[in-house]
This record gives sequence, C-alpha cells and structure tokens, in this order.
Amino acid sequence: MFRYYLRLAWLSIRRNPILTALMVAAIGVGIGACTTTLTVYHLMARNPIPEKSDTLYRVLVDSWDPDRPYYDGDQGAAPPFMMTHQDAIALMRSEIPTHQAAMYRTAFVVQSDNPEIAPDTYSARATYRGFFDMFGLDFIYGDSWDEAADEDGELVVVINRALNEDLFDGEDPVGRELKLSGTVFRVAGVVENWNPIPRFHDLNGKFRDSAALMVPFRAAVNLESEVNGSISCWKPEDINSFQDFLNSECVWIKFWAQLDNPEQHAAFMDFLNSYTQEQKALGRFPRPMDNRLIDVMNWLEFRKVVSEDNVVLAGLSFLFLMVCLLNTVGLLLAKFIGGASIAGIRRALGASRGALFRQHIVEISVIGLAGGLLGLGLAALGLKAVRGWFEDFEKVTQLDWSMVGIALGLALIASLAAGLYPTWRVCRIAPARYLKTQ
Amino acid sequence: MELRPILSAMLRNRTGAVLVALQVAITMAVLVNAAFIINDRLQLLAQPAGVDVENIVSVLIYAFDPDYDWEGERKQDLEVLRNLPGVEAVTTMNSLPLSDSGWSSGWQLEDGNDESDVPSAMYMIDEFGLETLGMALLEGRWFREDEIKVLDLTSGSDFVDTVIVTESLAKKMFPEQSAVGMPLYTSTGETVTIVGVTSDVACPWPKFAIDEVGGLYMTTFLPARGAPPVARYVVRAEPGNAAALAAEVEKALTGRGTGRVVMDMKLHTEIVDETYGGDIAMIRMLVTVMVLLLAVTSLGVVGLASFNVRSRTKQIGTRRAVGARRRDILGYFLVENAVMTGIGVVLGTLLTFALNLWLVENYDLPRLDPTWVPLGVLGLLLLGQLATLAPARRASMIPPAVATRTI
Repeated sequence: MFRYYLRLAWLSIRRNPILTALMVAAIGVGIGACTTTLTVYHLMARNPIPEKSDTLYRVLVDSWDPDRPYYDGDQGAAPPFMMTHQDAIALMRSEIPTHQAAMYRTAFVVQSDNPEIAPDTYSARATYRGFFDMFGLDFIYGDSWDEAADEDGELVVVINRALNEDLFDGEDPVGRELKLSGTVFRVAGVVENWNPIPRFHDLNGKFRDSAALMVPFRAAVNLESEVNGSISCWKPEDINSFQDFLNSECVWIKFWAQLDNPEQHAAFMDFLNSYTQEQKALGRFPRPMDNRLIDVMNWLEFRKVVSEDNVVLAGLSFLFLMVCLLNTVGLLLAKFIGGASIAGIRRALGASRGALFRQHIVEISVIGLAGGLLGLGLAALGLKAVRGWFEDFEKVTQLDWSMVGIALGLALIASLAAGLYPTWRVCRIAPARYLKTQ
Repeated sequence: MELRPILSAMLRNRTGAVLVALQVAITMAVLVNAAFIINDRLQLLAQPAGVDVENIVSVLIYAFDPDYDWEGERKQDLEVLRNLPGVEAVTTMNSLPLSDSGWSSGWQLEDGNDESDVPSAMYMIDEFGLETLGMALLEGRWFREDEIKVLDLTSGSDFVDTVIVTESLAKKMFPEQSAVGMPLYTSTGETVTIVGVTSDVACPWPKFAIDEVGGLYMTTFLPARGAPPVARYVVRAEPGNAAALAAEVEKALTGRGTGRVVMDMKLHTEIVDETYGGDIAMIRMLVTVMVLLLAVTSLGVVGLASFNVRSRTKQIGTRRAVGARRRDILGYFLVENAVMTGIGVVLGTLLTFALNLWLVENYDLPRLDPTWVPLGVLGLLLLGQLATLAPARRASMIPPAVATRTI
C-alpha cells in the first residue's frame, strides 16, 4: 500500500509542479535558516568537556575593592573572575582537590634550529602539571613535567601535535632543546591537539585554539613573561618592578580545580573560607567573604558564552520557519482542495477515510523530506557564508550529524503539522458532490 | 468597488484569509524588529574614530633576543619607515582607537581624593602622534621629543609629566574653564599637567566604552612608549595608499634587524572591522533573514492568489459575461488581498510590539521607535498588492466565453 501511496503522491506532485516546488522551497528555506542559527547556537552552547564538566570548578575568591564589587552586571555582584598571584600560589598548596592548576596565557617566539623555519610567535599557557590530568590531555610522547619542575620553575615545555609536526616533523622530540624567546627549554612531552570549543578554561578568545606551548607557571613568571589577557587592578599601589606586580592586588590568574565528590567540594570550600579569614586578619580581603566554586557549564552560562545575538537570531529564525509553515499550510490546502475531485472519486470507489488520510500524509512527508534536504543544503551554504563573516564563527559553523538529524526531523514534524488541517479537510469531503460535477 | 461580496466570499473561505493574515503579521513583526536591530548596529558602526582610519596602517614588533637593542632598533625602524615613499608620518602607540584592546585608568581632579576620579582610556604616543593620527589640536600644544618616557605597566617606571586630553574629557573634567595648564593626579600620587586638548578620539572599546571609561571619547594621550618585548608602529599613508603601503612597510621591517618577529601587519580599517565582527555578521544575517522572509511571504501570496484565480475561473467568466469589466476583476483580487493584509498588519502591529518587548526584557536591545511601525504597515500592504498584481491581471484576462464553455 505504501508504494501505491508513494506513486499517488508522485502523480499529485506532477499535477501541480509549481505549487509543490513552492512548498518544498518554503519548507527548505525555513529549515535552512533554523538549522544555520541552531548549529551556531548548539556549538556555542555545547559542553566542551562532557566527561568531567561537573567535577571541574573555576575558583573565585573576593580580594577586590571594599567600595565596589568586581562585577556588578545583570547577574548580580560577583568576585573577580581572576586571582592575584599571592592567592593563586597559596591555593596551589592545598592538597584537597584531585587536580588543580593556576594558569595564565603568554606568548613566546619559537626559534627552531632548522634555519628554514623562521622564528614565529606562539601562544603559551603557563600552568601547573595538574593542567594535563585535570583536563585530560593525551600524551603522544613523553609526559608532563614533575612536581619539582613546578616548584623550581624548571625550563621544560610540553608542545602540541601541530607544533611538533612543524618543528620536529612529528618525531619524538622528548629531551630535545627548544629556544623560546631566547631562553632554552627542554621538551618534556607532546600532547594531542586539545582545542575545546568553547575554550572554557580561558574565555579571552572563547572560540579560538588553545595554546600550542605549555610551560611551568613559575618558569614563565621567573622570565617575567608578559600577561596576554586582562589585568585588573583596584588598589593604588606603587609598582616599580615585576616583583611589585606579583605582590600587588592586581588579578590576572585563572584557577581551576577538580573536585570529584561533595565531601571534597565542601572541604575545599572550607579551605577557601579559612584562607580568606586568615587574609582578613592580615588586612587583605576587605569585602564580605564571597568565595565561589563554579562548574564548567555554570561558568559558561555566567560568562554568557552564547552571545545574546545568537539567541535572538535563533528566535527570529523560528518565527521565520513559522511563516514558512503557514505558507505551506495555505498552499497544501489549495492543492488538496484542488485535488478534491480525485479524492471524491477515490472515496466513491471505496477508499476509506483512513486510506485517504494515509495517502495524503505520505504525500506531505515526501514534500517535507524534500524540503528538509533542500534545507540542509541551504544550511551548509548559510554556515559557509557565516564562517566567512566573522572569525569567531569559524569553530561553531560545522554542520554535524546531530544537526542533520534535527533538520530532517524538524522538516518532517513541521510539514506534518502543516499538513494536518488540509488533510483533515480533504478527508471530510462528501464524495457525491464531486461526482456530480464530473 | 463593492466590499460586501468580497467580504462574504472571504467568510466562506476563512482559512485562506486567516493564513495570509497570520503570515503577514509574523512577517511584519520579524521585519520591523530586525530592521530596528540593524539600524541600532549601524549607528554603533557609524561612530567616528576621530582619526584618519582609512589611511592608517599598524604593525607589531616582537623582540625575543635578550640582546636586542630595543632603543636603537626602534630609532632605525622609524627612520626607515619615514623614508618610504608614500609615508606621511609615523608614530609608536600601545593600542589603536576601536581596536578592542587597550589600557584604561583614571585621573583624580584633587590629589588623593578617590571620589574625584575620572576614568579615561590611555594611549601612549610620541611626538609625531598628532600628524600620524590626524585629529585636530584645539588648544595648547602637542608633545615634544624630550617629554617621551618609557612606561612599563607591569614593572613600573618614571611616570610622565604632561598629558593631552580630548575635548570631551576636558569638558567633563573642567566644564567651566580651559583644561590646558590644569594638574591631574594619579591614585599612586603622581602629578601631571595638561598641555593640550585635541578633537575627540575614540577609546579602544566601542561596546564597553560606557562601562570602562564613561563614554566613547574619554581619552588621554601620554608622551610615552611601552617597554619590551612588543612595540606597535603606526604609519599614516598618503590618502588612498594604505593597502599598497602596508606591504611595503612589512617588507622594509622584515628586511632589517634580527632577534625579532614582525607581526600583525594590518590596516586600521581591518582592525576596526574585527572589533565590530560580531555586529557586522549580525547585520548580514538579519538582512539575509529579511530578504528570505520577504521572498517567502510574497511567493506565498502569489501562489495562493494564482490558485484562487485558477479555481474561480468559471465564476470570473460568469461575472465578466454578466457585465463586469476587467478593472472590476483586477480590483476584486487586489481589494481581497488588501483586506487580508490589512487584518494581518493590525495583528502584526501588536505582534511587533510584543516581540520587541520580549527582546528588550530578555536581551540587551533598545525599545522600538514607534515611527517604524507605520513603515512596516505600508511596506507589507504594498508587498501584498504587488504580489497579487500578476495573478489578478491574469484573472482579468479571462474571457467571458469561459462561462458558457464549461457549463
């Protein structure tokens, strides 16, 4: 029967090619617009580290100005998003978290021994060894540096696969020397490229690649490597040296900790609170105590990683889809009522209402799926166009399988919803009336 | 033209009319709000930088060799750049207007009084800054060579003695008198004197200007240069020559000196476009949605009207046979569409305000200017008429003989 209905659908489509083309186009354009904006939204809002996102916490402590909070926007008052150097160093001493790492982004000029490779600047993450285990980076060669390297600021470096391919042709470089901005580092390991989107651990450039170089935090600080990120200061302090800057109340360090269970979470919060009390006794932390542990997804939401523009666009494109569907309802109605005489004859020859209903649903599904496929094509074009318009969109405009499924499903559901009323109407017709006019 | 038969015909086939009206209503709500958002972004983009953006080129020098001669190399670099044909002027800066990254701080009007703090964007610039950026000097003088200091934000150093402020900042700090000669204080106890006032120059952050420094043009120039490892050279090209000059500048700089990387060679226009990248993309996407929406809605109207014409062929023929003129048939379809669209735009007006209210409540978007609504109403009525015109003309061509033929 299904094949018979398909054939009837094909005949009906051929009878009204322009009307059918208009419907497929309307559904296609609506689905295309929705899929484009939904893909951008879906990729911006996705979980960058699903296997551990609820055990990784951004650590905030409120060392800010007594007179005004660091942040006072539409999400209420909040402590600084970054940390002072002295607090980061003190918190790194805690043994409560499974892993933890203070970090900041800097840059080095990589000078290769190979004269054919010109010196070039690369983004670098100054951090602790906990970074690798906490975020689950995979080592291809070697391993992370050891605890002593963290303590002493040893000149060791971990590079990613892409840089290893550029510098060492992808061979094992462990133990080899690498000159970073004039200082010789020893390569400790190579990690698989790790580019979480959004780059949750450092939202300054949230849809950009992660650093290709990773060096011990202390090593970067000892070299007085510049801070590539925000530095915020509130206290009038005379800063005459890099050491003065390290001792200042300026915040610039990002701190993440892995807390696997509620007990660990509670213990670390207690630790933060008692640390704050200690500091208050020393005259620091002038604000009311407000320490926070924010897990990955809440952090992304708090920092509004999905820009409002994209939510608005997704909303508008759904309204657009609705217009396309209303359009389709009108056209379907016209088409079905136009074909009512044929339906009347089928009824008179013995087709039940149910059969008629199924036949029309099959026809609608064919139109819906055709619209969905057209929509996918348009979405691919749309995403390609959007990618060219804005650098930040490069990583969030890849059509993936889940979106293909959503687009086709949406097309089918939308066209069935649009077809329900016209089908009902055509099934209700009295056959006698149409037999008369023939 | 009699309205009653049209209305009673529509009442017999309500669904079609309701569908068109709903479509028109949602289309209008989306179109008007999208156009309003676009207009809002265009206004943001239209804010002048206050400098000669079109002819400015910027490049960074990143020194990595510990033995790099920071001062000597810079002097030679600037000399080389000044001698390039097509170069009007060259200066060094820490950041550029509307580049989305820079330094903000504040000035105290009274020494040691936190309350008197006025925030400002800070540009470090040298004695050639005025001719390079191209703003106007309104009062006082520009910096002299002997005033230029080296400032290191993370290591501290000897502070500058003089500053130049923009007209807007001068008015904010000293509304009653000339700012030239007035002292300003830093929170760490330094004192500087204002030696000049320029026309307005934008701060680096057009979208955060109000939060950061209280306004787009709250800007101070300091006679200073940054410390190693990064220097920014800003070059002003002869008018219309920036793109060609950029390549020459890069070649000249990479061609000399070792122990450094020449990077981020960019036209100032490119830098500004990157700052507004998200907004430009938003405008383009909204325009695309608007165009497609217009196409879908008008094609839908054409489709439905054509269908109606076809299914009413007999009736039209009959009307023609009993004396209706072509005009009457044409008019019938146009008026029918006008009634449906009319209901749609009334509904659409409500929907437009509702959608705007939702956008204002949930997102950082401005309240709709009500004068945009009549524009939307007129536009959609016109669209409906234009879309109906072709099918209606076809209807009016139906010969009266049709009536006799098919009975």
